[in-house]
Amino acid sequence: MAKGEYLGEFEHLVMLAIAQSGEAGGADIHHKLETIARRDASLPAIYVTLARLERKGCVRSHEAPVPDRGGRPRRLFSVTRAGAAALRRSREALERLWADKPIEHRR
Amino acid sequence: MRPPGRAHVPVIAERLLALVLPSALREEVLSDLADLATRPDRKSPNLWYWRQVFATLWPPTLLAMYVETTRADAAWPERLERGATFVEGLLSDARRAARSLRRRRAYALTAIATLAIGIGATTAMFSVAWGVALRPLPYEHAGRLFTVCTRAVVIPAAACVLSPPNAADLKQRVPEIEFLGVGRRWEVKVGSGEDAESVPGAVVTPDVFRAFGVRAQRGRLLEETDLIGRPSTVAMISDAYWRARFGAGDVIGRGITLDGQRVTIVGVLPPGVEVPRLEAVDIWRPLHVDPLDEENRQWAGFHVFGRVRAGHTSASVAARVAAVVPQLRDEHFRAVDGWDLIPRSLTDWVLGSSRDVLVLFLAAVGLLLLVACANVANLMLAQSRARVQEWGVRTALGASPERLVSLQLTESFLLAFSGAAVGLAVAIAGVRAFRRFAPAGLPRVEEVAVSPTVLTFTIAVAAVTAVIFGVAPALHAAHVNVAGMLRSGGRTTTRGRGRLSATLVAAEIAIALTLIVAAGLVTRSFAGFARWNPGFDAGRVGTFWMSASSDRYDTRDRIAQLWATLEREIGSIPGVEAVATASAGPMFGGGDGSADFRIPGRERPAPAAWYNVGPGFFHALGVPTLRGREVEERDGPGAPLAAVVNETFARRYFGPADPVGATISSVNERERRTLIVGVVRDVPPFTPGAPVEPQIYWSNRQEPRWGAYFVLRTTVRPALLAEGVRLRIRGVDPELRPGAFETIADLAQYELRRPLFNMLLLTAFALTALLLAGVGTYALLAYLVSQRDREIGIRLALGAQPRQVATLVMRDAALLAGPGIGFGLLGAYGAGRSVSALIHGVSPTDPATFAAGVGAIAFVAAIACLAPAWRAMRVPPAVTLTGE
Repeated sequence: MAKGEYLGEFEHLVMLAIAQSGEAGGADIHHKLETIARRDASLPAIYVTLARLERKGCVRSHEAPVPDRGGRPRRLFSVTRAGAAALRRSREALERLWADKPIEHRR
Repeated sequence: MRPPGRAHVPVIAERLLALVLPSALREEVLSDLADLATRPDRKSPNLWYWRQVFATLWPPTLLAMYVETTRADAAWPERLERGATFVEGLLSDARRAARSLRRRRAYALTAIATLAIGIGATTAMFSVAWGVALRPLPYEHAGRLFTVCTRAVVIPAAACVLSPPNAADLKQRVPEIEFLGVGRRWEVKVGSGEDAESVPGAVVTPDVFRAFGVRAQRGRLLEETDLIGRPSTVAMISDAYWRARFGAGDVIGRGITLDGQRVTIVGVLPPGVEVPRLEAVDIWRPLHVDPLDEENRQWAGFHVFGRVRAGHTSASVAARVAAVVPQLRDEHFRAVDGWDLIPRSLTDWVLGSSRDVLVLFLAAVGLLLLVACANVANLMLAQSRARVQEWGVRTALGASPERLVSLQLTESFLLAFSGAAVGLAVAIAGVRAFRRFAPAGLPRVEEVAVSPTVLTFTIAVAAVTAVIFGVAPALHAAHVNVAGMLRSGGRTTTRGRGRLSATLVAAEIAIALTLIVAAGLVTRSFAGFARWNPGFDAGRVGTFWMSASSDRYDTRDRIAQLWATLEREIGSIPGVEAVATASAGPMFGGGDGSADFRIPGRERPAPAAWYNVGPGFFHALGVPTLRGREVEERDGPGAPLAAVVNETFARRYFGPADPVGATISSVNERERRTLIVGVVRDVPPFTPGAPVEPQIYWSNRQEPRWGAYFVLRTTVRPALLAEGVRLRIRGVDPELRPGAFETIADLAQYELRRPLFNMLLLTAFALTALLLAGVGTYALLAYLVSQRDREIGIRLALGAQPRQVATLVMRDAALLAGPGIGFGLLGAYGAGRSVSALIHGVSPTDPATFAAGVGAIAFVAAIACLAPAWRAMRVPPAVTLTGE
């Protein structure tokens, strides 16, 4: 993986959105990003990210039947153990960096 | 069928998404988007949905989507296959379109040629605009670079220069300035004795390199310690010189002889260092005078290169510089009329007004491209009408509308890219022609080329073009009415068939008229320039500039003496009829300045431009003295100040009275009283329509300067005397170097190049647009006639006169041209505004030009309807019988 053990910013956001609800579909993630993170991301971009995260082993998905969509199943994503570890690593790295040189002091 | 729950999202947006989304994601994304769009808290769902569509269409997202879905682990081989199928499908569509185009060769070639013209011209123009004006200057921090220009009576308006002490003061007083270096060309002789060669050189302060972020390739840059007032003993060389002269060997620390003095090479600049106005300099030496020495306060012979600190822009610092100007004026320049410092961004200084003009041309060529698109769209529409039967059959056999649209779009893209490929050849030829004929003084012309950026632009233009001209026919294809087609045997199957085409042709006519009027205005303006008649034989008056060193001629008397001696020497050359000196004149020298004068018997101050001339100046030029006399040798030091005024000055400020003998004074310097000794005829300004300004000429024997233009009226071609003149000057003082020797007619010709170039370029665009619009009109009329041949046949059979039938066609033509001309006039009005900076002596709404433009359009429309009308008149009535 090009980015090694750390997550990109958008990946980070997407995974947090999933982790918050335990299990989430693309629309749920989009809604979370839109309302909580104030990011009006494009839905296909979210799916692209999910596909990449799945390939990296950070999330897994399964199809669940949903009655209100004409019986069409819907893919739900959850964070894997490796994904959770990656999230923690990214967070710790960020926190270390923030603790060392807070931006406010440079102004 | 659309699944339930998706009924309220925009249909077209959803279709578009469905078209581009990879199948693996399609359903998922579409139903999720529908859910999200219809959330109760969504404010404008349609807008939001469209935003999602556009975000998806962003190529990197689109690409990532395909890459990820193809790589997705589980179904990797299957997806790969599907991807391959997708590409295969595209290729097969392209092959099908190519085959189909090959069958319709005339149509394909016409479309490709039209597109090649449009895309080629656009690409060529973009190459030029990009190379010259749009591309950032090749410097680090280009946005923070600036220069400062001194305005003062002794400095030509076009020059942008400053003196070293002024630069030093500016840097010291404006803390936002990080670096401010000065430099000027200073040719050096390298070597000694017979082998000495002249090499382009410059003297600079170290900040010049720092401002541009230049680092030494070898050794070091110049430093402050190199230049404090002592003769410099170090030099830097350019990369090119290092390679050519020293074979790229070790040179640091080596000594060379420059102007007879041993100096040490301390550094080599990296390749590609281009300092504006100091291009192609090979030897860089530290400024050899102390930049702080007050002696040099007036020596405004230096270009300035500054950089402002990070966080500021050159524009934001301009105000700070302006605030320092009054201080400097008070301290040093109280006696200098109108002294001022103007900060300018480096980009502005280097590119000047070229940028606006090129952007205007780019807009014009964009209009041309639109005309080409409209033409091709019409061709395709006509084609698709002819292919309605084919499509009906395809639809009946189960082809979806999307499939037809995709086929049609594939054809558009194929045509557009073929057109772009040919257009690229057109562009390369166009760029070559441009580089040859570009008006002198256009910056960075040598950097204009069909570069990768230009290629990218061409590809983008081709894609956009394909969409622009392909959309109408594609939508047309999507609305084939199978049942109707089957009923009518393929005759009338789509609604509003001619209306769309007619709109497109009317648009073409409107755009063509817009361009014609713009070109017409620029042409009239050019004609004004070309008609310039100064009132004397400009081909027999030669001129050159020469300056003398203020060290050697250190008093006013000495410099006045020098000019007198030189005039005498040059005047004695056989073939020279008259010779004189002046600070400026028609086509040479800058405006010296202007001042307000007090005129006896007149309340208000009288503004006038002023110049310095030597004895016999007007005689040498060939401009008659109308009253009194002109400046003579006796108006020298010690004599009362004498001046000559022009006709306009006399008329405006003295009315019918004779100004000769009147004494006037400058409002600022009342004690300086000047006697008017004569009135000379006005010389019309070169710029057509520009008013003649009141002018006053005083004697350069009384106000001598260390530089002057020499004016020679000759009995032979002035160029023949250039060498003789040079020898005489050398005889007087071997150190004097006369500038280039040119006739006033040459200079006028030179000034004509830019208006000529503007005219040729815009006229080429306009004529091409006119031609395309004419072809478009013809094609549509011919098509309409062919569609109506049965109706016409019936009319003829029922006794209609051929003339009446022809009138029918002409009415069609008028219906096309009328609205086209109407909108075209609106466009032309806007175009007149846009070109107003380029035109002189012509109003942007010049009625004659507008009328001529309308006439041209009407003429072309008339020509375009000739053949169709002729054909309509000869429709054999028998078609009514054989039609079915």
